[in-house]
Amino acid sequence: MTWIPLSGGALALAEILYAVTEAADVLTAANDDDALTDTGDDDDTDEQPPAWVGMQALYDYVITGDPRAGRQVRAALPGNPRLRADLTRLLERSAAWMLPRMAAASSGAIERRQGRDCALVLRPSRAESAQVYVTIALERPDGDLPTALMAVPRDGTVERRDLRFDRDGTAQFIVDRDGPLHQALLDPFTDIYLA
Amino acid sequence: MNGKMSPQAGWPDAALRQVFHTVADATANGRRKFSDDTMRDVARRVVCRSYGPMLLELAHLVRAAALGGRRRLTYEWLFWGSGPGVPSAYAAAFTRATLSTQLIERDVSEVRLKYPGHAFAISYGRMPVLGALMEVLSEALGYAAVNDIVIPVCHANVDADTVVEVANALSRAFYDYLKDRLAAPTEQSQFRSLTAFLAARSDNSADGLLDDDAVFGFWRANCHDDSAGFRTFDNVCAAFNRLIETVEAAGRVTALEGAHTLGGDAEAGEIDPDRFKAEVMEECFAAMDDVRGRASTDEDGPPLAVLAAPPADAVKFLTDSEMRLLDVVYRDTTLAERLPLSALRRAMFGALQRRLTAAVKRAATADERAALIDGEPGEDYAGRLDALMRLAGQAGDRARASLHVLAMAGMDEAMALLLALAPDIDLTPLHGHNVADSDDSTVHDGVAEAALARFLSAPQDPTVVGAVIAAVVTDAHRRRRSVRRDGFGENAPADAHAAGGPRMVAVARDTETFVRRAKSAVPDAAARFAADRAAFAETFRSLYLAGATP
Repeated sequence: MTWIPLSGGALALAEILYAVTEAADVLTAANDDDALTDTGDDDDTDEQPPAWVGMQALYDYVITGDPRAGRQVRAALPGNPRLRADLTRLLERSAAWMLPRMAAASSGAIERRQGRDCALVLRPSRAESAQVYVTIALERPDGDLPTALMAVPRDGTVERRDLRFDRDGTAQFIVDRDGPLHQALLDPFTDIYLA
Repeated sequence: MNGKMSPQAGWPDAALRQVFHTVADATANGRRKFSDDTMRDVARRVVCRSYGPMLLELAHLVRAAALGGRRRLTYEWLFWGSGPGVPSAYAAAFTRATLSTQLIERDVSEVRLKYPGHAFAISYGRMPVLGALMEVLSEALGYAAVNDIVIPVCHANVDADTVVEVANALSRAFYDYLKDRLAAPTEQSQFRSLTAFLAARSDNSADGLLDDDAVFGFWRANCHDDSAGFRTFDNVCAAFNRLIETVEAAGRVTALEGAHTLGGDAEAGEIDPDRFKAEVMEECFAAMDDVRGRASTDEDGPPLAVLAAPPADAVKFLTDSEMRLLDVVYRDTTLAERLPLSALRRAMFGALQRRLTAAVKRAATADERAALIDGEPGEDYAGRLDALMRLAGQAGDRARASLHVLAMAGMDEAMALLLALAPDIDLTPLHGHNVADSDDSTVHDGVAEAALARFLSAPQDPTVVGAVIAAVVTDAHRRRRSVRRDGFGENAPADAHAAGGPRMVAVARDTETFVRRAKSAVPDAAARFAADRAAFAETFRSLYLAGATP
């Protein structure tokens, strides 16, 4: 019969070593806990929202507009104040221009919003009543122009739209009158970032 | 992972596990951002709270990123905008960055931060683990909270003290986060129950022995306690496999003498990991890796896993029943190597216990269960070892068959397989003189290339490759013809054989080694089996017949 000698010191040290390696293995083991499982792993639009959205996905959505990351973030935002705080911070740090929520005196829908060095105007389409023109004008465009508009309404959602600015600092696009982005832009309590 | 016990419920807690899973699942450029090794490294440091030095490095890395010339997202661009968490990606990111050379320098291997009277270098190789730690911190504390802490190092004029203050602030915040989530390792009751059993078995003396009797005795003493997780001999073997790995790693650590005095209350057996020196832990980890690495017989991964995966799985190198037979060799390799009798017991009586468990689940009668327990075994230890030796021989035959496939296909891998099968074979006929005599590597490579071409041009022709090599390949051809299974015929997939052939050499070698060890450990195999059968049957009766409906 074979045997392995044991010393008391080795056992004591082994207890620590075992404990930390066991815990490290638990932390890095394959995730087989249903409650922790991220079910979204492809572009299936029917994917379930993940239980947790990481910082990389948040960055990918805000900075590069990655659509899959966007679905994950948008699905996870409601009821997740930590994620919302992180989103807000990332937007504040990445956006060169901001159109903050309006003063408390504002009431009802707004069709023009003025930020520092920029303005946003909503104008109904004459040709198609279901559509609205959104025009953004930068007063002193310099350096890197924004590539996206991010609207963060008070309901905990987020809307994103890619932008393409002219050399004079103007960007224009059309939204559906009843769409979530238009509704968000009308809401005086929506924070708008140009990142 | 070999022999892992079930994790203690709630330790580490679910939120912390989620943090690590989120970071581990993060993707960049369509692939997992951080490697398993990187994640394991960070997890270990977090669990044993030896992340302090890393946080200082991380604070410096944030500073380095902030010197990358970005007006916005001053440091985030490096951690989340530079692609996969690999050294080359970080190197490329710094290469693209516009750096102020007054404050930071870069070269092919590192960046060097310049502070008044001080400098700090961070290699690109170090950055993946720091990037993963940043991601763990951001998931645990929140990006906004981490941002608040690290912003001071992003300002224009920063001295080294500021970086240290930021690192300390990160450490405090992370410590607060972890304090309720990482219980003391002393709560690892499963492991402690093993060590306590061993200590008691050696009359509480400082030293003792870990042997097959300890494994079996522990199972008999604990199998009736459903809450302990040791009901099956299978689980006990897995636990002891881990114990052996851990004890051997601990035994290699030079600082062993002080190990048992590290705790806050050593007399009570309390061990406080916070007081455990990080450098000792690093030695432990290195030793653990070494022990586990030794247990792994193939640097490309366990042979059975390679054989079961593409491209090797295009060939039926092993049947399912052969795979199951090899379980005794490859499952929990440390146990198989050090306590082969326990591995054999597990292979035979552990399998019987699994059938009994299934019988209980289907509400089999007591008579049916008793028939399983007392039924005539199909084979004993000697029979099982004989079967393994036959399989080792067949594995060798199939490896030789692969050699013929590769040689006929003109694949370079044929030469490596030839040398694996016949390590001492004389290659002189392939190049006319002994290349080992030459110290010039260029000459050596050129000659080796010519020898390979010569070998592949006519591998069975003795006038080209010499009589010995030709005989080996001819024998391989004969063995190939005798293998009657998919993948060895005329259209044999060469890439599958290139992957699988060397693993079959390993299977043959590892199996023979196990059988040799087992025969040495159990010289009286017949008597041992009879005694074990009676002892296991007695315990099985107490586990599975008490209270069962006749």
